[in-house]
Formats: sequence, C-alpha cells, structure tokens
Amino acid sequence: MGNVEYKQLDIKSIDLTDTTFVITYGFTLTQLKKSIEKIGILNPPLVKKKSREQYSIVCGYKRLLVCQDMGIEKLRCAIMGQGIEEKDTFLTGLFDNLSHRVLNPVEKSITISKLQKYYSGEVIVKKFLPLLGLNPHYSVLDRIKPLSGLDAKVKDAVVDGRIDEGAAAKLLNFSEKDRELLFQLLSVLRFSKNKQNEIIDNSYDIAKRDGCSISDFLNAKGLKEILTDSDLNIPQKGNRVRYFLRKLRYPKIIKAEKDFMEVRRKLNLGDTIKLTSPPSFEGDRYCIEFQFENMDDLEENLKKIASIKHNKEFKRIIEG
Amino acid sequence: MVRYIPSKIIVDTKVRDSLLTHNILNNLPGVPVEYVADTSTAIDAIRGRKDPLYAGKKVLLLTENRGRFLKPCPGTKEYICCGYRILNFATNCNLECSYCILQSYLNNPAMVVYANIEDMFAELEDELSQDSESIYRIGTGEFTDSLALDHLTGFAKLILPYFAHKQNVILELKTKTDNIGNLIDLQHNGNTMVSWSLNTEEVAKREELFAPSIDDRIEAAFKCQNVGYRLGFHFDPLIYYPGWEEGYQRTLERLFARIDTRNVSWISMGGLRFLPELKPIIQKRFPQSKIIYEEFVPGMDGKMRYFKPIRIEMYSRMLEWIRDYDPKLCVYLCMESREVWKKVFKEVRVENSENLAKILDDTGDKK
Repeated sequence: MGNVEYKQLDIKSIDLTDTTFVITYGFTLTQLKKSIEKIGILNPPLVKKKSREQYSIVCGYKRLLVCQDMGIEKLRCAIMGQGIEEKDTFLTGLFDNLSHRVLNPVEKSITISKLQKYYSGEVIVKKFLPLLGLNPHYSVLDRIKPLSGLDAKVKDAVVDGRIDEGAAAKLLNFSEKDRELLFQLLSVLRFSKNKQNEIIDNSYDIAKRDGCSISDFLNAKGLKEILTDSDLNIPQKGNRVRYFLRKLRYPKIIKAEKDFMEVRRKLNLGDTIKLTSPPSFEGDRYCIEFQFENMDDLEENLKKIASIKHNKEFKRIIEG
Repeated sequence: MVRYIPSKIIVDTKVRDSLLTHNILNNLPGVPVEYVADTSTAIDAIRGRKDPLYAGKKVLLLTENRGRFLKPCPGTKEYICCGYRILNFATNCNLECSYCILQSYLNNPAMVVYANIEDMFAELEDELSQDSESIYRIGTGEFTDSLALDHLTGFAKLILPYFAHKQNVILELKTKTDNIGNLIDLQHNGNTMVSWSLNTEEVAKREELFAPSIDDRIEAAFKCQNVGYRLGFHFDPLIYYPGWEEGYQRTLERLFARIDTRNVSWISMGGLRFLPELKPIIQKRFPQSKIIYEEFVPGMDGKMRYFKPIRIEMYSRMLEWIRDYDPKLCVYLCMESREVWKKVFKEVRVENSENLAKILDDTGDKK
C-alpha cells in the first residue's frame, strides 16, 4: 500500500461517483449510521488522489455515504501513496473487503468484471474465484460474471435471495421487455430456485424454437387466466404456470403422460395399487406396487393386476 | 472444402523425431512451430482464451499418447453397442458441427495428433496377434474425423498398407470430409472401408459449418467406390425438424443415384443425443442453432435423447426408405435399446451388443 498519509479532507473533495475501486452493492446504511452517530468513525476511509483537488474512494465507501448523509463536511482520511498502480489499489480495496465480510453474488460479479481489466480469465479463475469462495471453474466465472449487468431490481432480488443467481444471469439472454415479464412472473409466484430455472429455461427454449418473444406466450389467454384466478393460491398458480409452460415446451411428452394417466385411471386399480411408467418413458420397465392387509386383500389386488393384461389400451402403450 | 491449416503448431519434444511429426511439419512450412517439454502450459493458455474451443482448433498439438491407442468404443450397457474398437490417433475436429459431443467431452481444446505412432504399431501388432480368430472392427473416427487432417498427417498412407496385410481386421475410416486424396492409390486389400456421416443438406448447411456439402461427400464416396473400397454411411445424428422427411429422402435419393448398394457394408442410424453439459455450449457457440429445442429426455446413459416415439418414427421411416433402394442392406441402430430395435425392425434380430457385433463382423468380412 506504500506510505499512507493521514489528513483531514473536505468530503466534497472525495468523488463518490468514482467507483473504480468500489465493489460494494446491496446494502443498507441504517446500522452503520447509528454506530457512527454514537462512536464516530474508528477507521478512517482510504482514498487515493486522482487530481490536484480530487480523491477516489478505495475503502470505506459506506462510511463516506453515511457522513455525507449526516452532513459531515470534513473527515480524517488515509491517503494512499502516489505511484501505486491502479491494479494494486483495486486489490487493496478488495482484500480489505474480503478480510471482514463475505461478498454477495452481485459484488462477486462486480469484482470479476473489474479484475478483467487487469488479469486474464485463467488467472481470475485459478487465483481469484477461490478467494471469492467460488470453485475455480470457467463455468462458475460464466455464471457469476453477467450478474453485475442486470437491472437494479433483479440485482436487489439476487442480493435478497429472492432469485437464484444462475436464474438471474440467464435473464440477460432475453430482451429488456421479456426480462421484465419473466422477472415479474418469478417475483409474483415466489418459485424455489430450481423452479425459477425451469421457468426461465422452458421460456427460453420455446421462444428460440418458435422464433417468438416471451411476451407472445406469457401474455397468452391461458396463462393470464391462471394468474388472475382468485380461487388459486400462490403455490397452485405456480404449479399451473409450470404445467402450462411444460406443455408448450414438450407437447409430445405431456400428451404421452396424459394418455398414460387416462389409461391408468380406466384400469380402476384403486388407491392401493400404484402403476408407474419408466422415467420419461425411456426405459421399458413399468412398475406395479401395492400394499395389502390380509390374504383376501392380496388376492383382490392380484386379480386387479391380472386384469391389466387384457386391457387393449394399456397393451398399446406398452407395445406401441 | 477448405482444408485445415492451423495457425500454430506445438510439438512436444518427446515426439519431435516421429514420422508423423515430420510429415506434418513438411506439409505446413509457413506455420509457426513451438517446441515444448511440457504441454500443460500451452493447453492451459488455450483454456484461458475467450472461446477456448474455437481457439483450440487453431492450434495443432503433436504429442504422445501415453495410454493405449486401441480401446473399446465407450458404449454404455443400457443401450445396444456395435462393439467396435477405437484407434485413438488424434482428438478433436475442425469441422465445427454445432452438435459435436467432443465440445463437452474433451479436456484439451487443441487439435491433437498422437505422433508416437511407432508405439501405436507395436501395440497393434501385439493386440492383433493375441486373437487371430476374432474379427477386429476398428475405427479412427470416434474422437476426431478420420480424414480431416489426412492431407497433413498422411496417416492413411501408413495405416492402410499395415492393415492390408492383416487377416482379421476391418478398419473403418469415418469422415464428413472429401479429403480422400491419399486413399485413391493405396493398397487396402479390402480391409479398409470408408464411411461418411450424412445428413440432410439443410442440417449440413446450418449445423455442420466447415464440413463439405452432402453432394461433395457423396462424390468422395463415389470416387472411393470406383477404386474398390467398401463403403458405410452413418445417419448419425438424425435431426428432427420440420421437413426432416423430405430432407432425408432427398439425401438418400442423391446417395443411391451415385452409390451402388452392393458396395455398401452398412448404414447406421442414431438420433441426436448429447450430454446435458453440451446444451449451454451449443447455445453459446451456435446461437442460431435450434436443434436442442426439440423434445429431449434423459436417457438411461445420462445423455439427452429425443423422446422415444420420435426416434422410433424417424428410424422406421428411414429404414423404409432405405429398404426401397435395397431390402438387403445392413442397417443398424447406434446406441439404442432392445425395445427400439424391436419396434423399428419388427423382429427380434438384435437382442444385445454381442448380436450386433456379430452381424457387423460378418457383414464387414464379406470382401
């Protein structure tokens, strides 16, 4: 860090819009403000001279914002020595942050974006991803890097944990309008992370396959009806929306599932006998499972099962 | 077709004196060459590039194969495999097919030629002498295109004469190229067959970016037919898209207008399948491609496959059209289940991988 000089600076001389060395995102200042009001600033912010009368902030961005908010005009700051390279100045700020807190996904993304100015992808993956608590793989880099380019409300949702970081990054593959629509849908229906990804993946695939935009099918009648149905609670709406999209994405598979369920219903196996198809109908093994209480019950179930082999519709499904 | 020329050659010092290294360096006089004792730094540097898969294809790495050259095809037990063996003399391919499984399979993004072929011949000699009764069906086109680099390596000129004197070998060169210059005058003694991966012209144009047109591939097959090679054709991957029926019928029509079915050893079919990790790679590298947006399900081997009725429909129609040209042609399915075989062929001809291997051994052996 070189020699540090401590000096009382006019807050106006510190350019808080210059975020060259800042990686902080998604914070509230309430607690910090209370602390500063009570005990003042124990660690002076670290700044670097950028011109004769102006400084850039290196460490202590939030402290300075609070001071500004509190109307403090002058503040004791640590000023980095001249001649320190921009890269090393950035690293000073980064390591200071890493020393006392875990960065959120958006901050990690901002860090990666800024590191790209100074380092190759290989160095970032091998050296810096582990420092950020991430696995040193390019796929991780690719997943995290785009987050900083998202709209503020999506970034906020990532920081709050309302949207999965991987799902959020995928939103960048959509137009602004489609991104907004999808984000609204995910926000309203409060899907789990896996389901968020499923919704985004299916929407993307349908749009690519059909050469249409997301709004073409998200604004479709069937979906609107689900979303506005006041008899449905949020999880029910979520399930129906997922089914609606799956049906658009996989019409043949959904039809096969429906046909199988219909044939199974007609077999009248009752509640105790469970007949299941191979996963995705890929294997050739169907499964029958049942429970019984006594010998009569067993015989009854076996009779029902034996009757299946005479069912033409079931035979058609099994033998094609 | 534009022949492959790398931007740079990296030579592992362990193979600097190999015959294959000499061939390649002589055929690429203007291309910068770097000699390295340890290839890992060079490979890491490619991995660090923005599109390592694309960057890797510009680098030709000549190194040694420290493992075995001859390996069984990595088929899985859940599906019926033709049981051929892979002669692993090179990895990667420059043809830039969107669906190429190598994009998610290979760790090393460079175009690699294993130049220690002296070791390869020693291994072959040892292996082939162990069981003189069995037929060895060997292919070189699993982890690379068999002929894409042949104008540089001259590999065919080394391997074909070697196998020409073996009694129990069928070598299959699988390619999408028309790079057959080295094959025309070679003595093969019927032990080498050349096979082409075919598709519809639409798929070739959209998804097989640097591969020759279907007509050029058929023309190359025609030339090989004229100098006595047995031929094979692989409709793999079959791609399902609106208009696939007309597309594949047109390809078959063009194929059999030039190729006499009596010279064809076999035709295989396999629906598009891919490891789940390949999908984001295709989306990123080939954003215009739509082939991954059809209805896929996880297969029993973990690969994504077309929903079974789609596969059965495609295979059945293809079989019907092929049979119209020659009902006796040997047609087989690559990595399919017993159930699909039965539904497509309407008979229990192939129950398991051993059955299929036997059929192909017998078919290939009819010189």
